[in-house]
Amino acid sequence: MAMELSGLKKRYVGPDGSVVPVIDIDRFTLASGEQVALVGSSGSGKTTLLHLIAGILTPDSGRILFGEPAGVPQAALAAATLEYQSTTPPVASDTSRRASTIDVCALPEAERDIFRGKQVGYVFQTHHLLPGFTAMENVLLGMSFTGRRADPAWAKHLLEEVGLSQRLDYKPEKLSVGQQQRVAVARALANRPSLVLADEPTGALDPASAQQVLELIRKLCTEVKASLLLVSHDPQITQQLERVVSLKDLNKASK
Amino acid sequence: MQKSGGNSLFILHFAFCNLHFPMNLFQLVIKQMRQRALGTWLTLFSVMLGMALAVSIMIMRRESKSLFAQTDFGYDILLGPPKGSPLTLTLNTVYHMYTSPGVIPYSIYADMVRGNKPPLPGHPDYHQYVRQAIPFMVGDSYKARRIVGTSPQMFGVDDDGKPVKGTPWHYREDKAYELAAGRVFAPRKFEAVIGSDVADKLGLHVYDPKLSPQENEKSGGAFRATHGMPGPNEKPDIHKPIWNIVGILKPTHTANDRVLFIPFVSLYAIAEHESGMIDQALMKAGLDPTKIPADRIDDVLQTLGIDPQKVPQSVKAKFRMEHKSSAPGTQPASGDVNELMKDAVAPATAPAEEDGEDPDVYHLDEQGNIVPDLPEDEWSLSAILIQSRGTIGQQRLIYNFKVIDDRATAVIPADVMREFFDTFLAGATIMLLVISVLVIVVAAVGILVSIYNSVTARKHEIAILRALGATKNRILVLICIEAALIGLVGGILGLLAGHALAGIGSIFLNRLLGQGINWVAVDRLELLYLFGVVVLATLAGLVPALSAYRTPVATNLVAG
Repeated sequence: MAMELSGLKKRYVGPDGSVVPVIDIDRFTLASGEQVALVGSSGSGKTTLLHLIAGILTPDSGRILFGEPAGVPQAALAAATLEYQSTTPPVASDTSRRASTIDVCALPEAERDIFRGKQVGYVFQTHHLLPGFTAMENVLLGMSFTGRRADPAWAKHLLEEVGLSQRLDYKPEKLSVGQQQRVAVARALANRPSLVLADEPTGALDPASAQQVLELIRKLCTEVKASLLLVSHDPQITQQLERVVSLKDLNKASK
Repeated sequence: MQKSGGNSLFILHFAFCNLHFPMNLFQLVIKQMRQRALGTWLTLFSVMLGMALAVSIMIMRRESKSLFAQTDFGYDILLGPPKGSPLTLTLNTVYHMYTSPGVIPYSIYADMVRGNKPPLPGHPDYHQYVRQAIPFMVGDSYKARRIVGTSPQMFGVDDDGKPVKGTPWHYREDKAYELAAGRVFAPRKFEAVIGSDVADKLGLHVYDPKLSPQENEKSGGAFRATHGMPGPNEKPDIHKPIWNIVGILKPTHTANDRVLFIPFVSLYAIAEHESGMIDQALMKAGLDPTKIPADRIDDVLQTLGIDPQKVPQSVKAKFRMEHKSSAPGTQPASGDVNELMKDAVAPATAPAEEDGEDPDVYHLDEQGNIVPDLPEDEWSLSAILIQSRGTIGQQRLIYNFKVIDDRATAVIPADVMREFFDTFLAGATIMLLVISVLVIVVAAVGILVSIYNSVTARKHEIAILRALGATKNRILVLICIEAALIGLVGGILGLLAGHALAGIGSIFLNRLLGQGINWVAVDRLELLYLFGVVVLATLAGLVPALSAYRTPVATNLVAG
């Protein structure tokens, strides 16, 4: 699975009626299994970009394509660079060129939600766990909206992987911030997504915990063969990833 | 509170979810309701209150209709004193409420039970109109339970204790009195048949013939009647005779379960009853009998319109005795009766009679039957229960006692009760029902406010669910399920509470009327109401659900 953005634009209309461009990206691709760090200053549109990719927001124009490019070998896609250009932007209906690509932006809202549930794992800066639910339930909750049969064994495995095998029945308030974030990581991987979006997942953690969480995210993404797009300010974190992309370079709106 | 609320929701949790994941919508809803247990319980409580109020009113309305507006008393005509309201007469006779409005001559009853025998000269022939007639005489009580003087025919046996020919007397359609123990009393003995509730609550039982009357009285096999129904602060005036309990009735679930039945003739064997008419006349004139000298009794009685020749010596003896018991020397020896009566004006409080002071005003014949001193033509009854021979007989009797015979009045108890229900109870219950509907509407607004607040507080959570892949419709359904669940559970709890309230009402009614209501049965109207509550609750949830529907995910994720 690869992800490709093309001609993506998003503007906000301010309270005074002024139009503020936030995202203006010509092209960006992410190879299957690739782990990329996205850096940028505050207000450069990092979170908006992640929301657009996840289908939480819809762009004003452009495409966000998920899928295997027909005829493009997996290895070649994996080696593709940020500047990968395509003369003919792929479309969902263009089955002759890309048999299994999906343009998230073209999906109706409900389908986009379901697609997000199935294909995208999201790790937020703060854990965003539901307070009334145990660690195990929070992970299972991640499986609740996919229409697929939930897999408690997998949820348990994920929590074991993040070192919380003794805390399955703990509610978030009984867990430390680092533990909460690890549950959030497990939840993001609950549906074996093809893409994990992590929005400053270590921002609220101390360096040791941050390192632990990063390693867990990377390890689990590798395990499920998910691509990772991780937003972070911390060079200690970003330098560990395969590729670092600066939004300043990518996003014309932030220039 | 949250913890206890959480525990209390366990049943709900169990009812709607299997405890293993995958997490379904119900589990999700229950989890979130548990998380806000206090709010959830308060909303449930308000729905429950509204529903309970409505249901209890519905039950009371329905049951009071069947209780008061029933048309089947086992008799269709009630003959009572000419004065007094038909309602008082009916409530007094059917439900044993209030005091008897007066008396009617015994001779009417005697004429009605002549059967095929020709009527006495100058007496009307009731045979063609009256199928069965049962005497009804009240005025005494035992431990706040009414004593009714009647005939053995009420219990399906004749004067000899043999089953009556033809259909026995019914207290309801096709329901004749049945004995749980013993036998029916003999018509002229100090014997009694008691209602099931009386036996139960007062611990009375069938008398033991091996024991003396006094010993039986002590053990609960016999009793002595108290004059009237004294209040808690009044000194009871206990009559001398002792009635042996010879039978206990099976429950009839009517007010008669709370009654002690004795032969009506035995009531004339009580001194105070025999002199009742004289007492009444004296009371009306405000005279104290103890201040009337013995040799002037006849004069005073004559002035009061009572024929002294008809007053038995036993009654006169009582006057003399009472007179003796007061200070004789202080009595004025006035020659003028009116002057005498003026002086004999009764004091505010008459001295209470001492127990056992009454002389016997009867004797027993060789068979041991009671023969009252009071001649039969002086006997009176509180009422006569009549089973007429169809509509024509019923109308003829009504006409007879309305136009021809003014000694009594005939009423149709079913009509009286129907009118009573329509006039008082129906209107009142409709008003209560309207109030209960308003309460439900208030509860629905409560649901709306509660869920709206919870949705507002949970916008962040909803955004998380959306981020995890929950569609807008899922969220809409989620909130509507929550509202519907509150409506359903609150409604069911309210239904139960309403029935419990009606049950309490039934206990009070039972105390008041000796007849409870069927507070267990659930009728279609209640289920319809429950359905309405669920629909209303769901609609109330729809407003916040639509608000949640429009919740912008990105904004609320960041806000969290």
